[in-house]
Amino acid sequence: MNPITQDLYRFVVDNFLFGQADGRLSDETSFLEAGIIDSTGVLELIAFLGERFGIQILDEEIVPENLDSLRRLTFFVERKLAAKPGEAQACR
Amino acid sequence: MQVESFLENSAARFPDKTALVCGSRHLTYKELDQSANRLAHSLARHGVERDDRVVVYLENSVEAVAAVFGILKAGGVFAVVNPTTKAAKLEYILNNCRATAVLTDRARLETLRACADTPFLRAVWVAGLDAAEADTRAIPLGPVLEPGEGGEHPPRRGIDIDLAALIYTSGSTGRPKGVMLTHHNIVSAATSITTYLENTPDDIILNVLPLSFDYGLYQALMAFLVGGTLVLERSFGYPHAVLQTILRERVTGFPIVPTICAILLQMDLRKYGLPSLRYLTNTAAALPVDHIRRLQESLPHVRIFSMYGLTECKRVSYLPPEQLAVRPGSVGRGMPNEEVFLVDDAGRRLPPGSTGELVVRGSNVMQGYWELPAETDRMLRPGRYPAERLLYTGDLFRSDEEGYLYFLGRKDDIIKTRGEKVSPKEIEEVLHELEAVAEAAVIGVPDPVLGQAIRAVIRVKQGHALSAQQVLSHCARRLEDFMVPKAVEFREELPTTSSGKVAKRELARQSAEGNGFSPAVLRLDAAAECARLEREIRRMVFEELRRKGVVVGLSGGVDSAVVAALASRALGSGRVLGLMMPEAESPPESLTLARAVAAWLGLETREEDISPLLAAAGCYQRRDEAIRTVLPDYGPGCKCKIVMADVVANATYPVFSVVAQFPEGTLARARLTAEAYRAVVAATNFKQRTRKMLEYYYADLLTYAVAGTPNRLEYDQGFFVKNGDGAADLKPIAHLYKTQVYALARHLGVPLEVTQRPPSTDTYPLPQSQEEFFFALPPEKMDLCLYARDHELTPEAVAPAVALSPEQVSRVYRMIDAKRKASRYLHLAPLMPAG
Repeated sequence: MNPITQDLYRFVVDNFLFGQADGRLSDETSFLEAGIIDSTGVLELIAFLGERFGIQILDEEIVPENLDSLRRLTFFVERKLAAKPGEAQACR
Repeated sequence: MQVESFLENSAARFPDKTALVCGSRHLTYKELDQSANRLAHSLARHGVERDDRVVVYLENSVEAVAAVFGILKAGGVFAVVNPTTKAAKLEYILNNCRATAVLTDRARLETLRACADTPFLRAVWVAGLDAAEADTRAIPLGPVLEPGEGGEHPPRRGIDIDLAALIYTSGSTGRPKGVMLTHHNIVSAATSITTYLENTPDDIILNVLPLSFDYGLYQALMAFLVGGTLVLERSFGYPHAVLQTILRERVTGFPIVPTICAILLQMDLRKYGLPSLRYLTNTAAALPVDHIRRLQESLPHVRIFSMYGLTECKRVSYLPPEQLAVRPGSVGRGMPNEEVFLVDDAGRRLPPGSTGELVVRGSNVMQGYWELPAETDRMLRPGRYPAERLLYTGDLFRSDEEGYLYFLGRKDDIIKTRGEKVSPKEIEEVLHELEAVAEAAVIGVPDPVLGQAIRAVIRVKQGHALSAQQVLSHCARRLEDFMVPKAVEFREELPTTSSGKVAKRELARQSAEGNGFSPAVLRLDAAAECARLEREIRRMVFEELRRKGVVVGLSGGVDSAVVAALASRALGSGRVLGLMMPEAESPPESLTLARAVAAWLGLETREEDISPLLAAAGCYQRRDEAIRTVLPDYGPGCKCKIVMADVVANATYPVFSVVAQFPEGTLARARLTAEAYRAVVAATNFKQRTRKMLEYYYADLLTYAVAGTPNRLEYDQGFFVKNGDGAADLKPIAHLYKTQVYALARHLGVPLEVTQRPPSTDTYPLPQSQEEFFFALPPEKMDLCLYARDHELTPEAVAPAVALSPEQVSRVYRMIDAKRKASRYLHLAPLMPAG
């Protein structure tokens, strides 16, 4: 598994599934449809992205296209890191 | 073989085995058989003869089961009618079949007495009737069934081609038709069904469906045929209790319909486990495929049978459980000892993979409709041999290459809802009894759970007014529960055919597209609703809660004004305490308006400034500290509110920001972190909880109850603080949409300045509307979207009425669903360990 996806997976399972994935979470699972993340959950996720990957997220980036599955999140994080390679290095 | 032999044979084989469980009552086969024998003797003594029709007008009960078998043992023909049948229809049925006797209970006797003219009726057996009320025509049923003399079998009076039952079903003429079934028909169907379900004497079958519905009736017949046990429940009204019954009685078979399935899926079935359950059967309408999958996931050890049938032959088809994964939308193939096929319009048999009308051939096919030769000839047509009749069902089906069947719809305009056939004409006649109705048409609209849902489309006469509520309550008075329309639509004009008749197909098409969806769906008869709520408040406060009055927190808003007005009309203004609880940050006009409401109603009031309590709890300080984590300059003299991202306009998440106004007037906005958001909400919740604490202080002081003021939007979507404004002893308007609350306010005469003020949260120092913080839409639109979501209307159908795009309506739907999920926690009462 891509290390970014792995980090994200662990965060989502620990924080939103109380540590129990029970096979419910694939790369494509929609957090919204599966009822995994509510509105406070989105804020927690954003905070995690900031802490873990050092990326700042704009209001207009807080949309399901970027955040609503492990795969989308991974793409989004990779894109943000690519835009700020120096910071990403420091963070890893 | 006779149907009564089901019971008699099993009583001979297993005399001391439990045959019937009903509530706390357990009857052995011997006890039940002897009860039925005594009833048969009693019927015969009062003149019931072979082939006489006897009507059973009872709820699911020991008496109803004993009645069916007692009638058969007396050589009679039983007709079980729905226990919610109203007088006019009951009278029609009694006279149509010339019933000589009725078995009913004390509660239904009044309806029976309201039947004006029943010349054929000789005697009535009444459960729960006192000996003092008895006379030669009204016989107490209890003593007849109790153990005692006369338990021996009466002499056999009939043969198996005699009629055993008349089952009344809706006809296209609007009059119910009696489906004639012989003993042989019933024995044949019951044998086939128990064969494919592999029933044995070890089966314990739970029945929650009315015995007037053939699906319910057959559970009793089949349980006794195989020597199993029948667990009879009055209804599925208390799902948790029913599931407990399954556990307690170790039920193995549970017949359901799609509505029951939908309720089951809302419960945590895994928690119950239901280890004894061997199979579930479903009929009436096909289960949505998604429901089948979720049932299988929750109950992996249970075999699920999808079936299809009609009263005229009982059962048509079943899908073997192992086929469920392959063709979940199919209702299967013909059952054992029965042949089914599709025909074209000319009656030619079609090969598999075709679409046509379903035809049934078998010894389960009825003898026809009671004294209706023309209708009988339309359904029963010549078969292979001179005396054989084939059943032309009028149901359109598609078959796949292997002959599995898929239900498509009806050939005529009969509506099939919850598996019962409903005649639009019968409902239309009832609608036309209303003075204000100029034209009425009743159609079936597709419904994932009911199969079809009944919809009444009405044109109102010039100069008349009519509300959906009035229409529905009139229907409820005149029709059985399952015939009452699910929705009422008002139109300026109904589409017509070239011959001037209402074009039902066109209407159904328009309705499916939601043409005509408008705020009118929320119209209600304010006067009638107020009168009802006043009665209910009296009942709740004086009878249920046993309190002397109510405390109402007056916020200056319309909800609390309406609750206070209803309570003061219901209980008297001397029994309502209006409590006003301003704090440092609440706008002064809230208090002014609350006082105006109290003065208008002449209420006793108390004012409590809760600021010191809040300050002591650290409400303001904790909140401001949290805000400073995102807006470091926030401090004394600043005002704030929380706003939500516009989730309707854009496909975004409901992310919250704080908006602050600094003393010099400048505004700042910052997105909240999860911690800050939770800290702000947790701190401000002190406000609602402190207010509730004071409400209960006064309630304790005066032996009053606390009336909560949430409306339906707030209640449904979880817009309240748990143990804060969510706590109350009664919530009189939690079923009303916000626009309906306004309608009541106008009727009650709530001061205009209250009704004209936009709804506010009154929780943050800066003015804040409810849509800004929580609902994302103004209340009148939110009402419509919530209604539409509950009635499964497509976003396309709803969009014009709320001036949004279908895509935006979809977002609102998703938000509604998400809020419901999130509010589950808020609604839950304290949990207790299971088991």
